[in-house]
Amino acid sequence: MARALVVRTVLMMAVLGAAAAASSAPGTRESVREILGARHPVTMTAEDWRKLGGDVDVYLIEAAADTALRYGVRQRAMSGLAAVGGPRAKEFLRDTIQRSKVAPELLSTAVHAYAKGFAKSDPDDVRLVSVPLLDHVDWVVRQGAVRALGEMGTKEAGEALRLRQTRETHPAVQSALRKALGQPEGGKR
Amino acid sequence: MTERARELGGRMLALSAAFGILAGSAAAQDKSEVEGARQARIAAMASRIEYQTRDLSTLAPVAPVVNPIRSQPGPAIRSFTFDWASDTVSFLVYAESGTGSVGITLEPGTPERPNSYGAWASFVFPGVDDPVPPGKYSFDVTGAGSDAAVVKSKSRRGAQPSSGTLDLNLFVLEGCGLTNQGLAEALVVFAEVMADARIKLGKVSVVTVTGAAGLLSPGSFGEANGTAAALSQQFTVNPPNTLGANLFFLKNVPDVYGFSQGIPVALGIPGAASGGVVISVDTHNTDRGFDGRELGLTMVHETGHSMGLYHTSERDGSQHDTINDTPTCAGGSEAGCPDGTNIMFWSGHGVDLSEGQGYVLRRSPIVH
Repeated sequence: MARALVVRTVLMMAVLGAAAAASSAPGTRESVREILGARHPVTMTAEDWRKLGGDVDVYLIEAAADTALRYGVRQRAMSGLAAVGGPRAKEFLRDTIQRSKVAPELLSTAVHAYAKGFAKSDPDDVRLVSVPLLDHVDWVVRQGAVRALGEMGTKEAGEALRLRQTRETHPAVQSALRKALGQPEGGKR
Repeated sequence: MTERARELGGRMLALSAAFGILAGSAAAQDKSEVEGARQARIAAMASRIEYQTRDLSTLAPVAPVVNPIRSQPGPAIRSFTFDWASDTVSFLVYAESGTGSVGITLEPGTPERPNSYGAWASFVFPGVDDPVPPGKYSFDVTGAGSDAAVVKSKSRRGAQPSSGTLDLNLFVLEGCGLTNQGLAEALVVFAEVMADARIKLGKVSVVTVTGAAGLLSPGSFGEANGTAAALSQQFTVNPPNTLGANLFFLKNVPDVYGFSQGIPVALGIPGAASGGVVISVDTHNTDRGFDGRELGLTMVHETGHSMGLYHTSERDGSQHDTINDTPTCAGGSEAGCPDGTNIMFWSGHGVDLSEGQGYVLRRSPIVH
């Protein structure tokens, strides 16, 4: 708990400091918000994001943490952080996953984004934070954890998914499990 | 300052304060009345929705009917013609491939723009705000890598409309998180924006789809597209309103607020894979509650696509619609573009529909 508070404080200070430093890139924040709010997803590579400004991750974090914004905007911001990568994105997503009061929709996206962004560079940590969420009470979170572990494709991740498959009851998570494990759908809805 | 001046100054201050309180009180009362009227509209909307339930798990899968457009393997092009009479109001063509991609080409110089969406393609006349001269029109259907496609049309005839009514078929997957209150709030916004085009909201039917929990939350846009195709094939065969716009409500599609299955979709064509629009309900949630207004705007935007409207401008300014009276933008944001307030702009929170867009919408095959 104390560690989480310290991490959050340090992270927020880093974000605020970087936001102040980012004043040399006017319009970055507006461009980020415009893309996140687009009627349809705008395909953005890490390079596309960085073209908006060197501190684009700061504005993505700001959007992802903004409680006034729709979950869709915040989910897109997390996907953006997965693409951009870097220590601030990693710390923010990890902190989001470990916070106690996060909406299931956002938690699900955060764990999947964490895997998409960092499964290659830090597979052990991604597995460490994802596996406990396979037993989450909300099926939406379990589905996100399944997709995260499916993203990894490692032997350990596969073992955790197969174990979950023996007791998962929700059809949407069962379907995600089959996809993550490369099993045929079998015509089930 | 004399005593008299001080006394006057004090009285003025007291009066100002009193007026301030009165003004504040009046503003609060106005706000309360506005909110009361809004709640009344939402309640009235909620009361007119008709509900029914269908269990997807008990329905047999619908096999798409595929007619050959060629008999030999190899690149295929087949030409079609249709007549536009003086009383034709609109004409929609929809091509659906069984196995590969399909495309449509119109005659050179035609202002309408056909849309290909992989396994299906379509166009609608009028797609712009110009009267279509009576005569014979032709188009080609091409099958790239596909052996067969079904080509269907839907026409509307009668007097040229100056107003219209649009019915809605809302297929809500059980467990997607959409509440009656959230839906009613969204429908109020939907009705307000459509009124700009002189289109009234007609019958609103909600079909709660049970036995479809596995389809609630596709993992990707591609997966959502497949889910939508299956739902469309199943539920457009016998919808509550034969000529209604179809909207499918899922719980969550990653990074998506909503999408139309085509521009236009197969309006009024039963059993088509591309029969409506998909709405991702969760993406309209906030930590402070459900954003019914934004849901309503998403519903209008996607329904606009499904009835043949394109974005007024794309983000980079490379493409625009061909409607005569919508402004165009060379690229940029809502605030910096003259069409930023339009509901069909690529981003933002616009609510406007132009007269030209209304011309197309009012003539849609599903408006009556």
